[in-house]
Amino acid sequence: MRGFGELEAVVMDRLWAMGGSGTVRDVLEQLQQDRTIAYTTVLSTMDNLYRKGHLTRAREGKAHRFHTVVSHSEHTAALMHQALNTDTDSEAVLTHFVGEMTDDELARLQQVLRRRSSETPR
Amino acid sequence: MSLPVCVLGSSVVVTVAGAPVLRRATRAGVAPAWGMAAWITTMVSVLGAWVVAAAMFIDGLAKGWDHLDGALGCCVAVLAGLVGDAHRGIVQSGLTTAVTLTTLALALVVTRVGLDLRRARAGTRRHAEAAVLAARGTPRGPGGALVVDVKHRSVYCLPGRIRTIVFTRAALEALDEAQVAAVMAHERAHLTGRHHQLLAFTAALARIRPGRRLFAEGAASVARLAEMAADDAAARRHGRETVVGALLALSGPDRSPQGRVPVPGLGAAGTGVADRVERLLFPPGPVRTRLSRVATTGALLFGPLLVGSLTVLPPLCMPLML
Repeated sequence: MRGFGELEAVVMDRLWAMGGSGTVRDVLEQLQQDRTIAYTTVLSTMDNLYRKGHLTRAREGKAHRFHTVVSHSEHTAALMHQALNTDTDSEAVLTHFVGEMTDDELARLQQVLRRRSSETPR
Repeated sequence: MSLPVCVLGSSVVVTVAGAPVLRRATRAGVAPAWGMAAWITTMVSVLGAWVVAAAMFIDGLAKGWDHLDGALGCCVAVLAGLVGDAHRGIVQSGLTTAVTLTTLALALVVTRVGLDLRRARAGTRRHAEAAVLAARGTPRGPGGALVVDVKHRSVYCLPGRIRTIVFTRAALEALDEAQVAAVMAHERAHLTGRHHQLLAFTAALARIRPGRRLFAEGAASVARLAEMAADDAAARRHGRETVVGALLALSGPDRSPQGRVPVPGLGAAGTGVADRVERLLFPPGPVRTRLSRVATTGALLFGPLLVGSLTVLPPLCMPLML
């Protein structure tokens, strides 16, 4: 999974909200509702996303129509996969509240809990 | 007169003897932050011994070959005595080669640790950006936490510029209000304690081949103790029972069939939940706490004292022996 710059994230978000595809003009109009932004800025951001492989594009008249490569839910699934695999393929340092438990670990936990119910609670 | 080989020897002793000593002293997690300090100090003292030895060697080399010969003299004499005087030259060149290789290896190690740390930081930042994007469209959770709409129960924190906590929706639904507060206090303790930096550092050391015995176990122990330290921080504010409740709510078997994301090779990640619950439910008495603190302090001092004394004492004694 590749990361996103701030503006790249906003653009991806808008494209997902539009159903996964749109032209630079479409995204620009969406973004201009809450900020002033130049056409060329959006164009270069979407070109970046295309070069990084997050978007594909197809010619449509004079402009390009861009398509997201993964859906929002696929992106989320990939994120979670990375979050849960910090030991293996990810370089991110994340501290989980509870890691994935092995069966041995679960059995030990049951033991501890049985000990609690047999002793008077503090 | 310097003795790089003897300093290197001390690092070997610390590497071999350090892990069992530290393991025994910090196992119960009575003073987890202190335990983390003990592991990290010992790991750093081994690195320090390598640096000191390399510096001595380079210093000797700069002063000339004869001088270096003197630096290695004692070891050469001892070893030559063992194999017979005829092989003195071989012993001498063998030792010089060994020390040269050590110096080169050290440079390599330092570079690799630096690169690993940079990669960890970049990886964490990328993950944070992706998390922000995944959490779009889901309202922010308590305290501005990111909520990701998945059925797997998971909570973790993201250090760095973003500095936030990520809840999955399933995790948020599994916890009551007090438990959410306790989990947040736990994760905030990681963030304010800069645990991610310590973990990135020890993980980078764990990839070093020589000294792996100490470094790999050290990395795992520091991770385990960091969780316990964060548990204590949460328990101080929200009560031990609440933290245990949160641990159980998030660690129990995931019943929904889609809830369990198949995660290959995750066996090692399930670190110490049972231990954490146990120490929260049955905290040690004051005597054991004090004993454990003393043991941890002893373990903490072992590495630096051994390396330090071998670095400082021989040059002081040498003139007396001559």
